[in-house]
Amino acid sequence: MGWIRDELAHLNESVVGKNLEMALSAYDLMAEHAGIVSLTDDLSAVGWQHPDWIELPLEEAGISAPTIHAADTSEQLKTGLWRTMRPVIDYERCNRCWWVCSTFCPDGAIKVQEDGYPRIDYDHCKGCLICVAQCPPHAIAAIPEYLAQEEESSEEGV
Amino acid sequence: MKRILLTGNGAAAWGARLASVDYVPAFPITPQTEIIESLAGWIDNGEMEGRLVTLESEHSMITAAGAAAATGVRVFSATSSQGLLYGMEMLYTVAGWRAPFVLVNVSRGLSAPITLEPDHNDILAARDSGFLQLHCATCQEVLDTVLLAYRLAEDEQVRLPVLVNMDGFYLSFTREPVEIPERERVERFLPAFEPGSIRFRASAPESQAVAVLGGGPYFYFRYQTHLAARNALKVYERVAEEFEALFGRRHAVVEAYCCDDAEYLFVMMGSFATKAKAAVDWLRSNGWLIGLLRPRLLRLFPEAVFRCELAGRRGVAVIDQNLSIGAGGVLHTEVTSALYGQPEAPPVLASFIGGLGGRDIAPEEFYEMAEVIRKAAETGETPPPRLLYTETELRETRKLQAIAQVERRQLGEG
Repeated sequence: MGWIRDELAHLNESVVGKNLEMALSAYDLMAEHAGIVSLTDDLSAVGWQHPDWIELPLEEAGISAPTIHAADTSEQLKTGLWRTMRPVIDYERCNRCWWVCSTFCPDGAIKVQEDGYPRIDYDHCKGCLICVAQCPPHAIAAIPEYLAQEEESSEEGV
Repeated sequence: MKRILLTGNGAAAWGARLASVDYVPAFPITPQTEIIESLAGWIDNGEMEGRLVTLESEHSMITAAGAAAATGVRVFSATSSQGLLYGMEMLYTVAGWRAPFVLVNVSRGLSAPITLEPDHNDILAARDSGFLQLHCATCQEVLDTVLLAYRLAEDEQVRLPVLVNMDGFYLSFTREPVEIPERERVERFLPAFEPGSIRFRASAPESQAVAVLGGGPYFYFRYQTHLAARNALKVYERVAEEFEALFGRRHAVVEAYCCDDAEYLFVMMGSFATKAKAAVDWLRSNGWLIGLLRPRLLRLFPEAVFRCELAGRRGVAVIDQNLSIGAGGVLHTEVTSALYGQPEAPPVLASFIGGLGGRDIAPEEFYEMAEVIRKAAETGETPPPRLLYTETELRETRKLQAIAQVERRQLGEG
């Protein structure tokens, strides 16, 4: 446990405590396997099983180019995690032009809803802020992501 | 047939114009800029269709080229030297996408120190990228090669981008008589791009930026790109035959000049090889049995042609206009590895490094190289690599160094 303390010395005690707790619980999980992990013998260089190497055949680019012919491939993967700035729409100022922000969004992360207002998918928005630059009535503001998250967690706490 | 005086750059631009390219992403750099300027002029005055867009860097330019090619339009672009290296990340990427287009590189030595004149370290830095490479020696060849390169790139059995290389200044700014083929005949050779399995359309999203983990899929895709490049040899031979039938000019995978009875050979690529050709003529008029091998196709590397052409020769001089720092000449390394274990490999395969940064190679230097390999053949011992650098040049460099030291001292005291 000492080296966990050393490595995390620059962090506060509650973070160190949580890490120690996680490490210990992972260690305890292994208790039931105690004694059943053993070393195998070195693989003999006599009589081994030959790898089934093949001659890879040439395939046309239609098959062998690394292309995905489909949409929404990151639907279940939240790719917006590295955002440092968050675009936030002020719906009071949005004049429902319906196309500028959603068209310029290079990630297709802004969809226009039936009521004509755009909605930003924060699970996939990377925070490039092109929408902020493009919005004609300046209805999209950029706020630091950590502030937005702090605000969200305090709201949840209420 | 129209025959006019054209620079190498002009010939490259004419190649793109005759290929009826749809899209030209562009960024200026010496000595390539004239290509882009010519195309921009033609598009501006309506002599050529298509769209030319200036990008903010070569990195973006090559990305745009690859992305456009991945939508199934015909794309052309050009760069040089530092520009090619600035786009290096994307060279590998768009080749991995299997996006077929043609990129002309006008060779220029790399920084530092910075220079404008040619050698082949820029294009050879892209050697392993997945782009096929075709090296030209004359302005006519530049125009012809751009057309050939599209056939090669777009072939379903290849589908790779192609780099067409010419030497900066020596070819890019030298006017030679160039025959501009008739459009109808070009269209017979190179019809509109049939994108086949490239099927990107609006509202039908595709992803080229695929991530794979674990090695197996990665290995598959990279190796398929390699197999496609290897396959380009027979496609090139077929396409070059068609080209010859239509236009009467033969552009072999490796040009063999006066090789039939030759005991000694020069091996070199690019426009400086025309100097070697002249040297071959003069040496032959003095009784030498000597010839020149000039690879046009460098990627894929046509090792079988080298094995066949070099078999039984007494001595070979590989002249590299490049320097792999810490190793030596790149072409020499590649030729040597092609010959390993070949029973009839020439006993002497000497390496010469010349022509860096546009340094000329004089006729007497070719004679001297011929002499060196002939002497070496008598003992059967290959001499160590020889730098083509003279006492006079060192003296000139010393002068510059002296001046630099004076300036440094003055700056220090100021």
